[in-house]
Order: sequence, then structure tokens, then C-alpha cells
Amino acid sequence: MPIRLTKQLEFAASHTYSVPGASAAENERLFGACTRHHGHNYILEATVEGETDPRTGMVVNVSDLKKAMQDVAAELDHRHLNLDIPWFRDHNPTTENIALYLFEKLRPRVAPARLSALRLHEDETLSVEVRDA
Amino acid sequence: MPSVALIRRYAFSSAHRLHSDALSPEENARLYGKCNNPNGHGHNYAVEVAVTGPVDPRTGFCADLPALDATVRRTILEPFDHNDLNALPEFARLVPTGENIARVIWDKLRAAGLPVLSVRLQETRDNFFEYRGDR
Repeated sequence: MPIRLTKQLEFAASHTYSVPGASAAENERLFGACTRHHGHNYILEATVEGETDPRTGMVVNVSDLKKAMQDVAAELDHRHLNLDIPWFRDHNPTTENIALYLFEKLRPRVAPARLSALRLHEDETLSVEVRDA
Repeated sequence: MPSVALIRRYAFSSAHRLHSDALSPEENARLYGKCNNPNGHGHNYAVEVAVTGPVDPRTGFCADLPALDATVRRTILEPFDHNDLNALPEFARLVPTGENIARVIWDKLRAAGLPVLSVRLQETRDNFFEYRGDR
């Protein structure tokens, strides 16, 4: 019987929103205040799924999961995403794209469990959830 | 390709009373307890609306956030906030339980054309109701 386990981790990063080649007026219309350089405390919430090991009683060792999440988040923590992370040079660092980026980075690191969902909170009112299709 | 949903949290404060005309006064009192108080009571509700769609490769967005906010404000927050749910046409023949409020929010947002994936209603610190459609 599969069990799902969810763990959270906070990190902080800055970003700006723009579309390459768009005028300042077009970017302002699309993104408003998000065209300015600003930042957030993000909460990364990873949900892994798997069978409980009858010997340990665990789906995954939470300290291993914590380490994997810390490693993946450390690349973005206290960074300017547009300038410091190559993938965001041609992907707007929206909550959607940051969540997708983290999902692909974390997915191979949660064995023997499976990364079934990753939720990224930008603030208390806005979050994005990526689910394994 | 994994699926992506944007989840937005909104708040409204409303009064309600749990009472079913199909039941006797004694049955209502037994079933709903203090929620059956004839004068009503209220909650600070929070609702998390999840909408889904492909991520636009140009903008990086999977949803039109200003349009989502405007639709939720017009169809849910303006009629529900600081009002008595039992007095609204949506609940004229429907007991405003957490289950039914979540379902009504789902129906209204779907009717407004939003690609709603789930509606999660928080009624108190301890009670949550989630509706994900007929699956």
C-alpha cells in the first residue's frame, strides 16, 4: 500500500519577469510590478510516494529527502534567478517554471520513493503544483 | 511532461446556519448541533482554487492570474464576503455546509469558464473540504 510523505523547505531568491524582444510597455502590460527586480521567500513542498520498507518503517529516510531538497534549493537560494541560473536566461522565472525546474532536479534524487508532486509557494496566496504525469 | 497547476488562496468571511427543511427541528438539532443555532454564526473562510493549463513558453505562465482574480472576486468574494450565505440564491435550497460551499464555488467558477482542477475550502483552523469534480 503506497504512502505519500510531504516535506517543506524554505529558500529565498530574486527575479524579474520579461519576454525577450518585447518592448518595455509590452512587458509592463504583461507583468506589471513583476518587471522590477524583487524577491520572495519560497517554500518548496515535495511529496514522495512509495511502499513502506517493512524493516525500517520508512518510505524514504526523511534526512535523505531533506538533504536532496537542500542540495536542489541551494543552487537557487539567495540568487538572482535571471542572472545566476543559466536555465532562466531563456525561461521566465515564474513560479510555474521554477517549480518545473526544481521538479526535474529533485526527481532523480528521491529513490527508492517516487516524486509524485512538488508544490512551490511564492507567498501565502500563490503557489504552483507540479505533478508527475 | 508533468502537469502544472496554479493555486491561489482567497479569503471571505460569512455567516451561515446549518438547517435542513427535510428534517424535523429535533433531527436538525441532533444532526447539526450548535451549527443549527437559529440565529446563525460565521467563519473566516479561505478557499484555494487550483487551475491548470499548459505553461506558455513565452510568458512562463499556466494561467491568467489577473483574470482568475477578477472572476473569483466577481463570482465568489463579492457575493459571499460579509454576507449571510443562507440568504443567497445559491443556498436557497442547499444547506451551506463546507461540502456544499466547495461544490458551489466549483460550479460557479466552471460556469465562468475557468479550467478548475480543485476547490479546497477551509472553514476553521481544523476543517477542510476539497472538491475535484465528478471523477
